[in-house]
Amino acid sequence: MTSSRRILVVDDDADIQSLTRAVLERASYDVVSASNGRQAIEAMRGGTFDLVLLDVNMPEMNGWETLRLLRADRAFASLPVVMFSVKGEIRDKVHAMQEGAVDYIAKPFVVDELVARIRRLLQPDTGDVAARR
Amino acid sequence: MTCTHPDGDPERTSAESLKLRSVLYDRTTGLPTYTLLFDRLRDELERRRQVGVVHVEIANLKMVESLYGWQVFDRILERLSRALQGVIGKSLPPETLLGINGVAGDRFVAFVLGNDAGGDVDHGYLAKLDADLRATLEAAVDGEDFVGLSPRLSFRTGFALLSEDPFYRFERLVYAAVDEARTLSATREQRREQSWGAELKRIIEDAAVTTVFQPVVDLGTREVLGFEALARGPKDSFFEMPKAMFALSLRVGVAVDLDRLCRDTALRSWGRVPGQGKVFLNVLPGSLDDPAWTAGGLDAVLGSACLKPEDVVVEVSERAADSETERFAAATEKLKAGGYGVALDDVGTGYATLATLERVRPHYVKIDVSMVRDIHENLIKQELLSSLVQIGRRIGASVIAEGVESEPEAETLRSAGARYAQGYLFAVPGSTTTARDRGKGH
Repeated sequence: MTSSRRILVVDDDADIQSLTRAVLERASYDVVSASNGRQAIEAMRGGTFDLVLLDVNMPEMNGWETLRLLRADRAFASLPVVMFSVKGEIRDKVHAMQEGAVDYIAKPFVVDELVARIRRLLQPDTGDVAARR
Repeated sequence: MTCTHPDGDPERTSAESLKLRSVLYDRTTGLPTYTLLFDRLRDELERRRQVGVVHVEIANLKMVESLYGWQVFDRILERLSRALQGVIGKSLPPETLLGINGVAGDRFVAFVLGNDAGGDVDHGYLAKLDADLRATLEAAVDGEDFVGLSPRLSFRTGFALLSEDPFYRFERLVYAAVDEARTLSATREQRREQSWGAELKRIIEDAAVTTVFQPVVDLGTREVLGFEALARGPKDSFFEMPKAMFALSLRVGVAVDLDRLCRDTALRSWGRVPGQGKVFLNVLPGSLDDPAWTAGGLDAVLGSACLKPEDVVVEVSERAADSETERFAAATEKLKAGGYGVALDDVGTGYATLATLERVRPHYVKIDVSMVRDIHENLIKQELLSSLVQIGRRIGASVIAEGVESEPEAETLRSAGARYAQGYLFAVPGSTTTARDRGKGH
């Protein structure tokens, strides 16, 4: 395995946070966690990430707001963001597309599927993931 | 000189400043909201006493977005913004500030500070510039493919002179000038629309619509399930594409008449050729209450086409389904009871919820082209499709993907569980005979 890719997991639910972390670490990714949008942006100012897994419903700064702010900054504009939500409604997914997310994973998720989808997004040979939006 | 998104500073920005930026700059076009230009504008106005305001927007703004979806609309805005920036120093003088009416806005404002030679602007100069600009912009985007956008994209422009006046607060002077420029462009468009409305009424009186058919193909076997009847207005007119024709008919109040005319024309054309498979007929949601469309009224006209109710699938857009679920469900219920098939059209554009689909329980769910385009490269679209396929299975509906243009799209759709498709990959819409021949060819 080459140098491992870094994923920022943003979710206010501590159980989901630790489950996701465990799953992704087992798949050899480097994981950093944050509990809300504000923390996520702080974390991103301090380090470089290859992908962000972003929960929609969070206190303080929710996922949509965070995504919009990330897209407003050139430094983060092309960073792949995967939305994470319990809603799973069509409108919610369309909204994710409109705001520039690259994927949408409904909770509860199947562990293998989560890993497969993240792997697909971070595959080195698929080139520019941001271009898929 | 343009004013665009400043170069990202090397230092990454805090949440607070990102928030500010996200409300000051539009992501699609990269342009600042025009209020951000106020400081510069105030200085210029003090120095020059008057400044030109040119307002630019897409003609039939709302119609274009509702017909082609937000994705296409975003692309058009992005393209228009580039074209505008490209003509600064050409159709627009070098000293021009460009802004947008808001974040995710849809209208552009160019503040023309001086004429080509750097001198003052006046009314005559702006009028000439305005006419020239519209033609230049339309030429700049001509030939670009905006997903079958037809008729050709047009823009509307208007202008006003912003003059210094110490009796008013500066900002309000700017807003008033922008409004004035927009009003001028709206008046021009209204005149154009009135003449279109009269033309459409003539088309209906003369029954000047024709029908083309496009096969609906099984993605696995490539067998033809049936044909969708698509109306066409007179060739090379604004009305050639049905979307433009129907959108205008709603505004002019002749939608029900147009709907009947298109249906009867379709059935007549279908009747000329021995039937093969089902015929998919489009109906506007507003026509569902028209007696001509309730099962009895439809029965009466089927005989001429040698069709039975089970050969007919009535397609209604999901766009109305959500706001009036009950009325919609009741009307489709009647059709189903009469033996007709029901298809929910334009699904995936974000209007209908899963609950609506469950309530209406159509036989077919037609996935909108905006969901289909490049689905093999877009994970969210795949995610949406699979939820629609799942719900389709639950309610006993088959999924039909519209506008399929490439093999990778077809393959992604098929493996995700979409049963049928239509699109240029299989056949372009043609007259009855050619469409059928093409369909058989697969």
